[in-house]
Amino acid sequence: MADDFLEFRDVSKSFRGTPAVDHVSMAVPRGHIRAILGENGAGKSTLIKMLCGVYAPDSGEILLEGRRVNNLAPASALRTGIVAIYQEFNLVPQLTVAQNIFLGRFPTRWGRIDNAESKRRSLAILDSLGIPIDPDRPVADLNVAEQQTVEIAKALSHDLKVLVMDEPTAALKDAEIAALFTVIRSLRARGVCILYISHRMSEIFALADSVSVLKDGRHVGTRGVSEVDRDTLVRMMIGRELANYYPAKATQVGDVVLAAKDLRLRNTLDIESLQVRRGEIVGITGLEGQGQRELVRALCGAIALDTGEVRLDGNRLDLSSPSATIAAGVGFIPDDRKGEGLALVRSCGENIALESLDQRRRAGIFIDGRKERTFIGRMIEALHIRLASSQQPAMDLSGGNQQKLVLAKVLGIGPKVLIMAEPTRGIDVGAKREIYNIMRDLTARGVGILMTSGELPEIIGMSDRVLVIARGRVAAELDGAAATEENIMQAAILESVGAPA
Amino acid sequence: MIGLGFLGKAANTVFLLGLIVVAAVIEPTILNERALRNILTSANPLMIVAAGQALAMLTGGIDLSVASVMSLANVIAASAMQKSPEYAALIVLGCVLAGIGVGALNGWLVSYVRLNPFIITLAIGMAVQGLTLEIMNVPSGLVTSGFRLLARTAFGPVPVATIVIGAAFVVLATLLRQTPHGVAIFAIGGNEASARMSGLPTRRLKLAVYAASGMLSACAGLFLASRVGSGDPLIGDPYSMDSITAAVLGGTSLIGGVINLAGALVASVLLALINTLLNLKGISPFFQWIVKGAILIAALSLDLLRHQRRSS
Repeated sequence: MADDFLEFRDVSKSFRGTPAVDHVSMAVPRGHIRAILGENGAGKSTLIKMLCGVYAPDSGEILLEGRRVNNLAPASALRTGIVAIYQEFNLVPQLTVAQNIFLGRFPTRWGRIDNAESKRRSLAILDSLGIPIDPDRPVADLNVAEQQTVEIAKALSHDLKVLVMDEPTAALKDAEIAALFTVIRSLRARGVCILYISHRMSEIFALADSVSVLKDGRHVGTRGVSEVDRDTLVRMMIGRELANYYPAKATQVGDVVLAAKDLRLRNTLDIESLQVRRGEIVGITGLEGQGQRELVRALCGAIALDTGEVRLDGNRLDLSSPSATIAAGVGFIPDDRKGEGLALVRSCGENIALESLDQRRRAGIFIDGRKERTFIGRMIEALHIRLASSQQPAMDLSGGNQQKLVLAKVLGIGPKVLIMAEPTRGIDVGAKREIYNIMRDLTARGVGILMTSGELPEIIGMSDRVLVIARGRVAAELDGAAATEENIMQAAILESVGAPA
Repeated sequence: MIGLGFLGKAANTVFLLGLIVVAAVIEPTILNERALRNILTSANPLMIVAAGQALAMLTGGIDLSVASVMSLANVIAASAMQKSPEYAALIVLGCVLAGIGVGALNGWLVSYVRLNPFIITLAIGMAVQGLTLEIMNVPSGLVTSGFRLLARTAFGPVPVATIVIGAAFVVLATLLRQTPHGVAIFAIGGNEASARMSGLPTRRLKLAVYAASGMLSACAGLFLASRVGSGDPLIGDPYSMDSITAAVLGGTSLIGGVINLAGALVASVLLALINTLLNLKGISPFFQWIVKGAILIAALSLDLLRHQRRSS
């Protein structure tokens, strides 16, 4: 390329002998949006962290405008104009918007912070992004989209040259995504070079100019987005064809296993009835934040409802706590794998065994070590969890394998009903496929599954029946052929018109 | 606080002031000049350590060595002044430097060696206590008469020391809120990773915070030496817990990123007042420990409640 604004030259980085980034060379011009695609563990985050000065490359170099920028400390990477916005925001909730934007570089007067000046400059930046936020508001009071805007404003307050965004839309609503894209495009117009990491293909095609695919630490290739389609990219990522992405749906379903009535929670939920049958996958979807999360959390006893009755196999289900629902046979896969799903510092084996310890007791109190090991081994094998040893801490595993650990843990209780919140969030294509197959194995054995997902292709591909939730109500129930993206969106949007965001 | 939401951040402090008024109505005898002066005088050392404790808590840490540092400064002052009263000023300076030294050691271990502040300050506190008992194992020593005036001068009901402490609190609050380094300390408590990524010298600042806490503890120990007139190797003992109670009750959060200095000041007065009331009523000192424990638990629960309301 003629304009090699940002260039990776033969960059490599290994951790304990395992190459994470393996001789990667690529260049990105000024004023360009480059999507970076790859399965988890493909080397995306290592590459980014070298750019931002968190890691130093073992070999090779990174050039920005012809100058070497590898071996910078994080703070000097910032000063050079290289800014990364991660999924977990790097803001201080207790400080105001203006304080966050200028943290570390406050304009001062006689040693005191010039509040008027930092406020004025913050306003100017926020205005240029077209998103007015009061610079005096504490960041703790902002919603996710506003916090992201503050992150971008903070980036712009430096002499921004390269902006790295890691899954920036993961927690945003559609309208906010659109606003974010407008901002990103305006940054491109200003000549900023943007590296955009996302698993969401539709975003890549909507936003990026080009896409680079990484696999196993290697750079598979870079293409202009107009030259490729979804299938090509998936093929590049996983190195093989995906014949049938989703497994076959249920051919026959059994009796009702979970029946809920009159689920109400203040302004959040108002569901008259909801049923899950044996061997069936019920998909719950809608716009972000319409009560889906509260619904599944209430069903597993994590939050209390105002009213509601749930029956499991005809018996009234005690919703007072997760331990009560688990004891009754309701398995729950939370959407926050790292926060609620796993004890990351503990071993994989312990994580798998944790939820069903009671089933392997000896003399009533002791844990039967041999049964325990057999159980763990069986689970690892059954779910094809890829790990070096069951003693390995859970945090060493890739996202997909971590999600399988959560599944193994929950399946240990032998659930009659499995409630899965965003079962494949943030995991790569190959692992998604495996999770889907596990789900269908379970339904074939008579388990009923209720899942929520914000990804429509997943909802359509996996569900036997789709419930669209809008403003806490069931806006539509669609089965089989009726569950199309168009029908779902129509129900989701029509019902939520006028809904407070 | 209940029904005082319109006061915003000051609500907590106003609530505590309200409690003080309630106490005064229940027990009007505390309103005479002498009693007021005594309450403020006994609150003074707590105000000083509570400020240091609140600073440590602002960074998300804690300083459990404050009690020992107080005792150390107290003992050095009393024994050294007895031997060479002519060097009183130098001795005071030496005590303050010793406090800064212990605090800096805490800070270095917490921020550079990255040890857990709870355990480290407890361990350093224990070592300092040992050193203190090595210097003086039973209450003894004598401070110079000029030095005694420090705790004994007053304008009517208000000790001069209280005025000085109040002014120092205003200066400290201004430094915290209006200078880049002050705001950076808030940032450390709020999100240390982010503060570091913003290029702030987080380790140096944390070291400085613990050094300040050590310095303030030494000042509190000196104040007690001035008030009592002699040294006592265990005089600081109750202050580790009391300073945490005063800070948390005042609205500083154990989670970090939040500080309320005015609240700590008023809470110190309230605690001294409760102490005086219990003494007036002839309640056994052991029962008073139970009361103190209960107050700390209540303050911590309140802190948790405040935090939950924010995040919900």
